Formats: sequence, C-alpha cells, structure tokens
Amino acid sequence: MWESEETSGFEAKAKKYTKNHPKEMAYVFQHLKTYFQALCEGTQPIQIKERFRFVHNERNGIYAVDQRGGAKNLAEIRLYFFPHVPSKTLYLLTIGDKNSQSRDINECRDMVKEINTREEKRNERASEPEPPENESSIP
Amino acid sequence: MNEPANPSLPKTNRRYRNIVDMVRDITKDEVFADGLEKTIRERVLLDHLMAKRAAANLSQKDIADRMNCSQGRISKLENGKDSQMTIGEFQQYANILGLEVAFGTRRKDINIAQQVKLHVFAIRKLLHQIADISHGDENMSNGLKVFLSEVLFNTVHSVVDVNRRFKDLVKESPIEKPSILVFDAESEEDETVMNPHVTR
Repeated sequence: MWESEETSGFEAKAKKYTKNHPKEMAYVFQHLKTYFQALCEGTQPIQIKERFRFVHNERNGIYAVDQRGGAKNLAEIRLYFFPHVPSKTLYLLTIGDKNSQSRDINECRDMVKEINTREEKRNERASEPEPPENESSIP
Repeated sequence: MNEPANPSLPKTNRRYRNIVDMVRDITKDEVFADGLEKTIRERVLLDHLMAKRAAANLSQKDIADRMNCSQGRISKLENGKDSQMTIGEFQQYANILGLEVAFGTRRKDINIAQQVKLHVFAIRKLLHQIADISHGDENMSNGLKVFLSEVLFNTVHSVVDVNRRFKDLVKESPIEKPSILVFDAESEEDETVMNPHVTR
C-alpha cells in the first residue's frame, strides 16, 4: 500500500497556498488524490503521467499536479512530488506557482538526491547480514 | 559516524494513506478539508474509473472511441461528479476497462467494523461455493486446499499489518483476549452478521 510522506518545507507551503488560493488548491489536492489512487492500482508513475493531463513530468523522477480541469481564470499552481516506487512512498516536496517554477524544480532535485541517497543507505543496511546475537552461546 | 542532518529531508516523518487526512493534518483548516472531503466523496466512482483507465494504459480518446462519443465528452465526464454520470455511461466505461459492474446497497448506519463482518460472511459463502464446485474432483480439491492456504495467509497478513499500526497503543492499554465469532449458517445473512454469537 502506498503512503505519502511530507518533506519539512511542505507544510508551510501547503498552509500558505491553501489560505491564498483555496479554489486552486482544492483542484490540486483532488488531482493528487486521483494520482495516489492510480499508484495504489500498481500503475507506474510514467504511465500515469501519460494518461492524466493534469500531471507534469519534471524529470529526475519528479512529477507535479496542477489545478487544471476546474473553473477558468485560476492561478497556475503546481504541487511537486516524488513517487519512490521500491518503498511505495509518495514524497510531497513543495508547492509553487508559475513565478517560482524553476526555483521549485531545482529545490525538488536537491531533495530527491538526498532521498535517493537515504533510501540506498537504508537498503544497504537492510541487506547486511545480522551479527549473531550471542557468540559465546555458539558451541 | 552519524549522518549529517539535512534540512530538506522529512523531519516530521508523518505518513498518510489518505490525502484528505494529510490535508486536514497539515493545513489545520477544517473548513477547507471538509470541502475537499465532500468533493472527493462526490467523485468516488470517477476516481475509481480514472485510476483503472491509467492502469489499463488507455487514453480518454480510447474510451471515447469505444463509447462512440467525443474525447471532450469523456474529459467533461471525468471532471464532473458521479451524480452527473448516467448508470449507462458508468457501465459502458467500466466494461471497456474489462470491469463488471455490481450494484449493491447497505444500511446507512452500518459502521466499518460491521462492514468487515459482512465481508467475512460473504467470503465464507464464496468459499463454500468453491468447495461445492470442487466436490468429488480430486484435482480441484487439491487445488482448493492450496487456495485456502493462500486465503488464510493473506487474511492473517492483513490483520498483522493493521495490528502493527497500533503497536504503541497496545503497550499502554492491552487489548482483550480475541473473541471467536461463530456464524449461524441457518439464520438470515444480515441478522447473522449483525448479531454474531460471540464466544470466549
């Protein structure tokens, strides 16, 4: 089962955009929910992107959902995330608008590098054989 | 050596299986979260169909071609609410995805625990149906034994998985000894599930 996990700056961004752009954020979260459900169906992230117009591929495994499909004249908002398939974790990275787009994507890339490094270390640790509990008890 | 702390990585480590719960928790905006929950409830069927469409790797146009309508119609359908879709459209869309539509109703006041009991009873009924089909056939009976082992494993695994989430709580307030539910096959289905005989 997939789970979402927020990064440290995500909460502040979510609060700010929900307060200032509630209409847009309602569509953004609705799209995130649809995306999340598709992940839970076992669909690969790239395939979901191909099938939903509100999903954008920002490269390096980063995707974003926008506010499309709802009312007109809404501000362009994007919620960026990183679906880490092996751990079935949807990392929620940040939220931004058109003005902050390139800065947001660069920030997301740094975060994804760190997440990948951490996941690799976790896997290495998990694959190491466990030492015997009490060597003296071995005859 | 300890790993250096990185400010960009998750500090809170809060994990969610539900987007509305996540929004409610992090925005602390009950009005917004209630509105979002309402919108999502109005789109349960559509979200289900859309997730299945992505899983089947089909575009809106693929669906439109098979439903003899325009891609715009499917786009409008998917951006709307369940109540704006006809049962015929739902059936057509689902059939294209290789899904069979099954309709059902249940009492509104049934809680989640009671729903689980209903499902347990339904599974029991289906298992008996399989047993009836395989009766007298050695190969099928052997296959059924393997299948039942899988069902048992998956059921136990599901319960253990959920129980793991309450590990810390259980330490503080130990759960009671498990009850055994005995279903009465002779009585009415609903009554049996709603009023199971509980033995300890």
